Amino acid sequence: MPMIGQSIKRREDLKYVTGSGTYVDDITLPGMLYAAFVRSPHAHARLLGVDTTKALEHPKGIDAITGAEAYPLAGPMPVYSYREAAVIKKPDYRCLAHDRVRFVGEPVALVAAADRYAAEDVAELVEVEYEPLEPLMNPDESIKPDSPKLHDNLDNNVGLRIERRGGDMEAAYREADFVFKRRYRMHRHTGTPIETRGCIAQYNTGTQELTLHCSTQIPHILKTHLSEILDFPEFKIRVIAPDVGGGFGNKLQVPPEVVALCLLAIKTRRPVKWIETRRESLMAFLHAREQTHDVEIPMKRDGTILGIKSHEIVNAGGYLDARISGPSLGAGMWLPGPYMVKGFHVDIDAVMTNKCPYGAYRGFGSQMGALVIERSLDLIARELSRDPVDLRKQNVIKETPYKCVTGHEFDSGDYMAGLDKALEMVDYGALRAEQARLREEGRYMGIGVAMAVEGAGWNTYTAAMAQHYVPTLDYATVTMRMDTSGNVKVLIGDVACGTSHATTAAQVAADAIGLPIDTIEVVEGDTAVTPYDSGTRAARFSAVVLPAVAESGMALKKKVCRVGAHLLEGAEEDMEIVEGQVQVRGVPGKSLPVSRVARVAYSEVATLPHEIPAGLEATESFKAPMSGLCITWPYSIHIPVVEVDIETGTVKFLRYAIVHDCGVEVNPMVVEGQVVGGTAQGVGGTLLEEMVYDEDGQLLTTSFMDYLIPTATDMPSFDVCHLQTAAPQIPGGYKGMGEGGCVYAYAAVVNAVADAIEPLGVEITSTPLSPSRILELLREARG
Amino acid sequence: MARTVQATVNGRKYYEENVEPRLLLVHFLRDRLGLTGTHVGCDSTNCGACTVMFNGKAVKSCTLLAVRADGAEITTIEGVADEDQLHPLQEGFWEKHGLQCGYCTPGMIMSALQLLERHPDPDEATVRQELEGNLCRCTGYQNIVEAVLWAAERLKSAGA
Repeated sequence: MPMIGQSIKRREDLKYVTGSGTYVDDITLPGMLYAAFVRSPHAHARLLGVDTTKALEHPKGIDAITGAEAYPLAGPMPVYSYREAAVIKKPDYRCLAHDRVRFVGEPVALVAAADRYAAEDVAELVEVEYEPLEPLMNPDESIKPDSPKLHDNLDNNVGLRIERRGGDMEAAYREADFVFKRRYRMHRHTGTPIETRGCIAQYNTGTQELTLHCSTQIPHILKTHLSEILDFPEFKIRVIAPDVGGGFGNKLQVPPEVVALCLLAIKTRRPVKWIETRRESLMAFLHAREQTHDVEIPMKRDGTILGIKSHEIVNAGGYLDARISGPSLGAGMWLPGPYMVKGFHVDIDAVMTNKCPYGAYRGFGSQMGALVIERSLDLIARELSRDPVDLRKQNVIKETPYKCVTGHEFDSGDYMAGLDKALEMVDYGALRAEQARLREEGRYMGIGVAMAVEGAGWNTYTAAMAQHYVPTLDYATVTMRMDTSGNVKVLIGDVACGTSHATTAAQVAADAIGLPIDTIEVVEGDTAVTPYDSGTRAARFSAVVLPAVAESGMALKKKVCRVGAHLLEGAEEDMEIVEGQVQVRGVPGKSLPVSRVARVAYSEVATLPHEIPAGLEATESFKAPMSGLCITWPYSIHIPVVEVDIETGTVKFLRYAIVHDCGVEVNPMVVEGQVVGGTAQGVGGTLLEEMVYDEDGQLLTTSFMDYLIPTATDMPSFDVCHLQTAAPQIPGGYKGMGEGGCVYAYAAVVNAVADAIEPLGVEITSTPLSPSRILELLREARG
Repeated sequence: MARTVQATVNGRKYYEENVEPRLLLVHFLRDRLGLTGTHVGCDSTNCGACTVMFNGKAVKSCTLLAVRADGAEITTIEGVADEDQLHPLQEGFWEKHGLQCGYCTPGMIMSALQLLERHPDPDEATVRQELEGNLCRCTGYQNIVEAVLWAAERLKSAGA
């Protein structure tokens, strides 16, 4: 029975349900010190001096490092850019602040102490002198030419400018009967994995090796960047990602804190552990999402969308994170959605302010693009007195492949069929009738529709900044090693962070080789034993890594068959492996267990002909063909049905239907888990979560008491329908998935809430939609 | 003043000297006793990753001082299975894909243990309500609810 397509139970779960997983804080090394950061209490200040004398007088204060000491030892943090039309003016972003601090929580010094609690005591004794400066919190102000500059080496506060054009926007305006215009504002929130960041850095003076145990999604890339930043030989750095307690794109970061930790490990000659507190994490781990879009959509009166134009402003924070251009461009490129438009035009400014740096989070910006187009369609439908679904049907791409005006080629899928399926799941016609009936009773039910094509496997970074390495994610290399008993280790340079790789990669490997799955084990996360890989990101695992697993498995199978053919005195091409037996195709009884073949290949090598090499190991790479900016094109339709309580401002879900197509599903249970989990994260981000700063730049949401992530009672049950249109260019037909739920939920939920309270005169163009915000909107509408 | 803490954890006796009065129970369990299955997620009693059974009650060990554990009986995730036989809740989380990254899982299971003690035959709404103090960022809770209902069913039929 083939393993691909089966919802088998996860092979990694036994350790997790028994508490025997190993996350970074579960690791203790001999002689290990604990580290704590001294962080800025100011949003913006000149750094006049950092004095560690008193801290080091503490009996448990072992050592410390300041920004001034770190400056000559560690180069700037990396920033990637895109191939086209991007300008990055690089702020001087260092692991510890050295001249000015530019957001609350920015690290200014790092101390090492004998234990976890003492580290915090010692950090408190570090004396820092600041001269507070006026903070810049609003990008609309900060972008103005006369605004004070946050970075002396920039011309102004625009850290990144991207301009993208596609199709014929002039024709779109020319043919338009009217131009729909709005300003949308999306709020700041982020992934908040339940495991915060953490790392142990260790320097061995004898081998001159730097070893890190680090909660990261990118062990290999982190290694390469550390080598550049620290000017340290890459082959002397080993990064081990143990179990990772959630990543959600946030852990794609190259954390400045980890650079500082390496310096302290080298300085103290002892392993140093840093485990981030939640407060630190909310202040200084990456934030995401905050953008505004000034949008124009030229329209025909008959409902035809002709084009879309936006000026997008991203609140980039105090420094540019390596991936700033990703979520910035991601939003811009997703503006046309799955609709046929003639023209596309986006100007993106990522603007420096005194907030936490802005980085990657599940969906990589595409939810803002989806929100803009999906919200606009609903508002346009209202203006034209049309049903919003009807307007979508008129404009949706009817056939694939379709060359989108952005340059993407959507290679497969039937968006109309997906929409129809979702409408059927909620019984759309009946729902509208029910809505009308409830309104008469003074109850406010809303139906939200959002659909989008998700680009899975972005690959657009380029070495615009020549001094920095830039990872590319369109290939994967996988090694398979069979041991002397015929069991196989699959070595992958990725990291699972809830993403079920140990199961799905084993399923693909089992089918490729022809072995029972319980003889296969996946090994990930350690740069010393796995092939180079760009990490768990961009929904690339299914589309790029799994095909590499299959190719490597087939190569290993060939080697086993070669030895088997010799032992069975058959032709190599007649060999097959079925359920762990090497056999001659069509000749019953002529077979050997793979374990016997393995034994011969390792320990009876002398009995093999000279041209058959010893051992059983294969390494193969898969290079994914690109389709525009991305590798595969999964898509989804979300229809949440909500009821808004206009007395309390709370949103209750009555239904939530999802149609999802990510090509061939290796493990439908795992796919559904990702779809539902992603959607929940999107719902939370829309309704509850917000990073709130006051006008002085103080972050007001520094614990989970203030930053509300959804609980079990906030979430509905989601109904998921799986469509499976094979990816035409990917062997196996897999498409990336895992980000989608989080992309579509945002637009769908906003549309549902808006649809509910629209009869009360409320127009929603900004988020979050927290109860207090909904009440505020209702109050404003009442006047 | 450092204190001595004598406690029974997962049925075994522990005797720890020099316990700082400010040491949190979760760090006592993890750093002193080596029971690293209990996790820290928020430091503020919101996320429940650190939930353990303390004298028969599910408590969040990140805001309880270790010295309070003197004389206490504690069960952590490491003590939930009966030798090699998984508890139905552990099986349920596995069976129903009630976890992804696994970080919240131990705390979730400890809270669910108490839930099933209080409500041997819970409905979906009860499960959701009782697990409100445990945050999961991966699953959207749907399969966690399924897992607990599965375990309840299993325990019921075992008891019948």
